[in-house]
Amino acid sequence: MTATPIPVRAQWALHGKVLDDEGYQVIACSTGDLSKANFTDALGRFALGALDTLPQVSLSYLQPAARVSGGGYLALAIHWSPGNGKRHAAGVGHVDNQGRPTTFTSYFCAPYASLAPRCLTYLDMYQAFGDVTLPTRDGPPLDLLLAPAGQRAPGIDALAMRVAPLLLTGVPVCVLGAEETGVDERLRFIDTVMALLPYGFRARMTAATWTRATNRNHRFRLFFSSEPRAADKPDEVVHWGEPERVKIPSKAARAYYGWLNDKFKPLASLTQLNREYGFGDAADTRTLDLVLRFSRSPQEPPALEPPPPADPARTTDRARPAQGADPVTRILVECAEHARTLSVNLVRQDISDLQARLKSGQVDDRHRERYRRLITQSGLLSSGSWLQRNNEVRLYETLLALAFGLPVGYPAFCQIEDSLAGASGQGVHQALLAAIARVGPGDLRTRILVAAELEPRKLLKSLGSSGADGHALIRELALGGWHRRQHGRTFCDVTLGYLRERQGRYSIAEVQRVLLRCGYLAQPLRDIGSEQYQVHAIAQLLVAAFPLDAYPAGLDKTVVNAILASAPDAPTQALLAAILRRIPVSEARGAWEAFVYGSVARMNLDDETHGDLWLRLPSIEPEPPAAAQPDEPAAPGATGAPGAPTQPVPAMELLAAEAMPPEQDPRWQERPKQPWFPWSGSELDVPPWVNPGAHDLS
Amino acid sequence: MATTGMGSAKAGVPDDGKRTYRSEPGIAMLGATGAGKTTFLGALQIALLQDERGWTIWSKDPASRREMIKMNTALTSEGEFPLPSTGIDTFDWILGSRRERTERTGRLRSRSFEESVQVTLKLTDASGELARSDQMDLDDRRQLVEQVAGSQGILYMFDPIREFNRGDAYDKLFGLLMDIIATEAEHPGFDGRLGHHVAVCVTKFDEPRIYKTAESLRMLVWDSHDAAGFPRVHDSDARDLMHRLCRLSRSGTGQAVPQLLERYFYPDRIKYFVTSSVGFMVSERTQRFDPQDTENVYRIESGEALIRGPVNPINVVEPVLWLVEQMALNG
Repeated sequence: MTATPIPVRAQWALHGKVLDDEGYQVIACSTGDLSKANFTDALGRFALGALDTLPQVSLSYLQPAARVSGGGYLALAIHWSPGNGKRHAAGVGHVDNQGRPTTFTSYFCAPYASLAPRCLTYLDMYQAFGDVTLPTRDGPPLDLLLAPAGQRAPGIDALAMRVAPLLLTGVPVCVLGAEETGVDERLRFIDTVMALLPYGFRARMTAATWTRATNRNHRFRLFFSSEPRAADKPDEVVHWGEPERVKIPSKAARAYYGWLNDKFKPLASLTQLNREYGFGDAADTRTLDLVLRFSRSPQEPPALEPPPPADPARTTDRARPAQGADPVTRILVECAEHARTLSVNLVRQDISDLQARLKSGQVDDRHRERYRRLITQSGLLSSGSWLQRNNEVRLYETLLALAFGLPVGYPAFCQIEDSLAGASGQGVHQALLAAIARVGPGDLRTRILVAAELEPRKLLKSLGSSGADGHALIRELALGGWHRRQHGRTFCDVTLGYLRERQGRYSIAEVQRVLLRCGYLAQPLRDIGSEQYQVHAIAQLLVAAFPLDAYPAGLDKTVVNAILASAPDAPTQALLAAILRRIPVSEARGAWEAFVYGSVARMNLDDETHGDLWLRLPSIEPEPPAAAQPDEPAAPGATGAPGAPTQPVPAMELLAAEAMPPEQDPRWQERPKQPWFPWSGSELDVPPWVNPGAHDLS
Repeated sequence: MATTGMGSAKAGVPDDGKRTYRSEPGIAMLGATGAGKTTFLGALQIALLQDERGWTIWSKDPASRREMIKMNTALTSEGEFPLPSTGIDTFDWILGSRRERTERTGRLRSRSFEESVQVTLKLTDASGELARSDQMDLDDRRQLVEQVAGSQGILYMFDPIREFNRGDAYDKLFGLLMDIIATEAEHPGFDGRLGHHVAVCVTKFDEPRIYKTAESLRMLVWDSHDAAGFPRVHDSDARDLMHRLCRLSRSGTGQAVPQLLERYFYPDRIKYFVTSSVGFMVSERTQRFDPQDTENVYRIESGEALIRGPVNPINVVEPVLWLVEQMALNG
């Protein structure tokens, strides 16, 4: 369709050299509103630099000094060489009087007010002005007819789609790698970019189909070149035919890009729906369905009739749903595509569609697994950072409900982590954590892990007020089974912080009981931390159970024996080390014995093997309580229960006690002395596991 | 004495006894249209190759590198002149060399070390039109003035043929100097003179009229080691030759050009060179310089100027190295 031509009064100038002079100048110009000085200034402002390949086109504007809104001009300059292709002026030579090649510029400008209402493009201007042969003498402005090419949807040019928002950042955009293209194609690209911006931007737009890279100080906002220019303020450099390399730095510009994708892409896509369609009954309904289906799967332009089943062998995109896939799968695939192209509105629509699907029915495990796989492959859980925060969280909430189930328990949390690690190699980011917090963590582990990342400062307070007390934390730690070592470590740190924070506000006896029952977490800690960390953590737990102010003399032998020898799990070296740090040096031997006893006694051996060992272990097990002598008074301070607080002892006395032989220390119960090394003085039966022939072990 | 835009030279001695010296001087090229600024740049690489001092030239900036290659190819392989500048071109080229240096390490001791020298040249090549008075209010002219003011050295190309035909060197230089001084005058301590080092190049030495003038003034000297037997004008005579050529100025103002330079720059910071970027024609038969056929440029029927034979630049390296050296010495 060709629209009615529009009459435009164009002012013009011819710039170049004449033979009787050697310098570039305005040779001739129109005798209109603009003077020769205006043209000289405008031409000097937008020079391309010396170029090998001509013609080229530059686009600029002229603003009269009065600066009346809409009173400016759009300018198009054709840079050409008389010795190369079409001549745009009569009577000019292609070399100057020094024999140097001369280039000419045919400069045209038309009132913006006459171009804007009809949305005339640069190509429209080029087609009209390109046919003009300018005189070498001043003359009147030219009355030309500019034919708009008609209303057309902008073609889908992925690079133009990205360059338009880039221009909005105010940084000039340099297009590299377009040497093989013609001036028409580059000009069309500039037009396409400008079609993706409000028309009014043309009033201040400057662009060039080529510039010399060493001409560093030009003022073009969008230009093609062979190399990036080494300007003080670097340009945004994009590469022809490689839109995926373009990064849009500004958030607002990215949002504009998303808007473009939403609005322009569907319109432009209509040109791709070029199979034969007929008008007739229900054409409206069918066409609506057609475009909706196409907007969801643009790779395969659909026919009005259902297409034959696709050959599965030809489907290369693993994430693409098969024909007849359930609607949620289809929407997820589309959502991933929309997220990839930063289409805000489409993603919002996808979220609503998915939520509607969620409300309409339960998701079974088989589908849930499929969704998880799809989300992992498409990286959907890490793709929403460009959305507004509320939309991003909403997207993740929906995906969590679909693929992982609500509330999010620890296994699901680990699956989410695995999904992110597989897709992007990153951890659970803040927006996703916020989404998990909003939908509700399913267990204590998830709650702690999410809160520790999201709101570490509020975590301890929230624990105190929600009843998740230290006992629950300790019991959870004792369960072990962490999917990642770091989970256990984080959880343990929170537990230790909680116990430290709440010291004096919980029952010491209860904590002692809980910790003893789980062996002071010695075994679970082995799975989550280094030896150094284990010792540190157990020492903290010992402080929690035996506060320094209540147990200034350290742990007594009964306590040590109970921890090392009577806990359900075998003691670890870290446990021994932590305990050794809380007892006098003189009591160390007793701790070793308890450790050895506990270690061997808790080994998982059969009765026969174990039975032979009992005699050879230190005597640690508490003796059966002797019948109490009615006339024997209880020792002062002795409560009879292990772990009862001892009387405070000044620090200096404690140090002295370390040098004192244990038997002289009244605070330590005397235990019956027995040789704890069992091999001496008796012959043993050779156990079945001993190396054959090694009968004499003495 | 006021100095402007002088970069500081830094030197360090690493453990291997080799010293690296680096500086980044900016050199602006001035001269009328067709004076040979761009050709001079294009010939610099060839001149360095022919120079025995072992200097090399390269560039890290892709755009500067591409233009260097294009200019070099045009001159050497295609027999064409590089495209004349329109607007302002800026090139970042690096000159590199090694040199022996001795340093005292004590009262009676000294040691020698090899010094690697790298000098980044920021070369501004502006179109000659920008020196015209009708360009004074233009954006490009303002940029040129700023770049010249900010540079440390100036390569001023004086074209005697143009001066003979048009005689506009004084007018253009004066207008430009006034603009530069106006910019520099804002700096505290400005005493009315510009601190730049200026290498004045009297160009187109191969043009028969210039050659004959130098010959008639008995200013030609020959290097006995030069296989082709090219003559030169010694630098000490270059100023006088320029004076004599300026007497032939069409406008009669040419003689004021050296005075203008020496009034607004410090005279001890100005040096004159007689140059030819394309050099003299070499006789195809004898492979030697022929005093009867010096010009290495010819014109084809269309009027385009082309290069006749191999390019043998005369005094192209020297002005650049002199500027580099002066800027390094004066910091």
